[in-house]
Amino acid sequence: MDCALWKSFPADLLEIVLLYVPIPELCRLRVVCKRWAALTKEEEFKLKAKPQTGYLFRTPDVITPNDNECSWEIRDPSTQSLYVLSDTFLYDHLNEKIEIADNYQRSTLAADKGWLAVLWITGDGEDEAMFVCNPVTKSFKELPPLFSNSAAKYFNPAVALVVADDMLSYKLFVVQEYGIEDPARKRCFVYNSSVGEWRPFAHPPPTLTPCHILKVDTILYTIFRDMNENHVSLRTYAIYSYDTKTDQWTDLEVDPPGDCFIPQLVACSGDLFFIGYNDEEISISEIDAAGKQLNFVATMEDEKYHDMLPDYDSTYGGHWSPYIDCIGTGANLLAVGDDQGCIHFSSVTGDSVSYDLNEEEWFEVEGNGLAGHMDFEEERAGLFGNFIRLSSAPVPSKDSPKI
Amino acid sequence: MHFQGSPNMAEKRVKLISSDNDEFEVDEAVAFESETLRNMIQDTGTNVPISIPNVSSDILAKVLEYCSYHAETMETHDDKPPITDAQIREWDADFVDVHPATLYSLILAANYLNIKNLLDLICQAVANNIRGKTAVEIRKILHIQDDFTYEEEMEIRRETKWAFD
Repeated sequence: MDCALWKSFPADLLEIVLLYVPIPELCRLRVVCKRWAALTKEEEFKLKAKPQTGYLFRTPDVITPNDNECSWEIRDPSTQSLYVLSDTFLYDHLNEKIEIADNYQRSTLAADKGWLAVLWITGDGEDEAMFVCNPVTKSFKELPPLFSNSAAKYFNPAVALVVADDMLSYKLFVVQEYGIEDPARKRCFVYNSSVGEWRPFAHPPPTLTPCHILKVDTILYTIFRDMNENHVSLRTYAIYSYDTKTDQWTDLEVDPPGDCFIPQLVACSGDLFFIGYNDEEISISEIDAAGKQLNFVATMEDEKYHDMLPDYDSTYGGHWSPYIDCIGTGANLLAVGDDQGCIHFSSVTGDSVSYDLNEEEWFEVEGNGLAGHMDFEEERAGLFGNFIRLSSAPVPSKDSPKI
Repeated sequence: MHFQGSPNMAEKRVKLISSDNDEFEVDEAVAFESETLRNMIQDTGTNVPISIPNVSSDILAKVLEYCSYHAETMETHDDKPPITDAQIREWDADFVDVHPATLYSLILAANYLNIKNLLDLICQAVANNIRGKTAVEIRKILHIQDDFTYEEEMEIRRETKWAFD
């Protein structure tokens, strides 16, 4: 940048430029001068700011309250910068209400446009609190309780957050498992911030239990596993789309392979992919909704694949799933798509590998040892499970939470 | 009278004069990418050449290149496949891959001519230039006076400590 030129740059245009500066840069640049610091604090600026940068989002798995600095971690895939966003603002809020027992756990359920849906729950399932928060502005809204009888812990909900484009409202969708005791009980609920309460929404066909939910714009793509009447998984998968505008489920009628452990959906550069892995391979298939079929894309190279999958013994047992936007315990591997045409895999073994859809090749990112990371001393694990934006728009929290 | 939707629209030509008195002739649809030109044309018609006193010919040529391409992406041809979003993104990325001095002139031109998509595109490119620069570097480049006390600056750093780590 040439100094002489920019000296006379009009201030109003500079403010437009700042709307596009990535949030971490913007936070740093607040120290440039008082005008910039004040500008980034203005409500209008916060809502208009639309930085295009996307980040790989890592959520550590089990968070024990002994960690004073619980955190979310994000990595900028273009610069490899890693940022650590603290969640102590939620922790402090909870600590005022109730003394947080040693076995509290935090689960990040879903993310959209820089806002996160977070569930805190006690080990005995007695207490829980659900939030929608923005870790950048440290703003949050505690939602009214939804789950009862430890349902959250034992029923593995699939959750999707849909934030409105104007960043003024949001909806949080929860799809619970197919019920054992009472198959007729309601299991789909949506919290609409404009209404301020949970309401049921359309149910998917019975016996289908959600495995993974992926939000693309206002559509929720969901992989279901078919259960029989005895609640035993038949390990037959189906992919549905739920249109949040018309409140309708539609079977995509693609036929995913039934022999994969924990299937996942990935959105990448406008296309939708199915990721499946089993004892033998990890594969990527493109979902062709119009043609009602899966088109094979790639299989992970053998040697890499063995690094990525840990032995299925007790070593990794007993830990909560590090899934975000996903459910199911024992997910040792997560895939996430970015906006540059790459799908990134991270594993609890600490290994990671990415696939470039354009170049049609696998690659490893240097210094990516933290990609998947499990620290048994600290009882923490974290995988890149989502591709998110950061936002300077605060979560609206005007009405007080119903307790 | 609006020309929008008129079957003769594509045939209408508009003459534009740059600050250094070069004349450009483009389809009306291309000029309409600019809100400013659209308003002028709707006021005065297409018979009179429109002067653009604060945009030089090299920058105006570049702006019109952008407008032509984007006007073309809006058209549908039976014999040609439509231009995909990915192709447009690639074209846009090449378009802004220019010297910062050109970017600077383009941003002023896009603002004056009120071409929202072009302004967005260039602001994004300038924002990318800002990435990775320190506050000290930014102050130097933009000739901004540091008006914080040490304590004030430390307080701001504390507020978003994560971004400084």
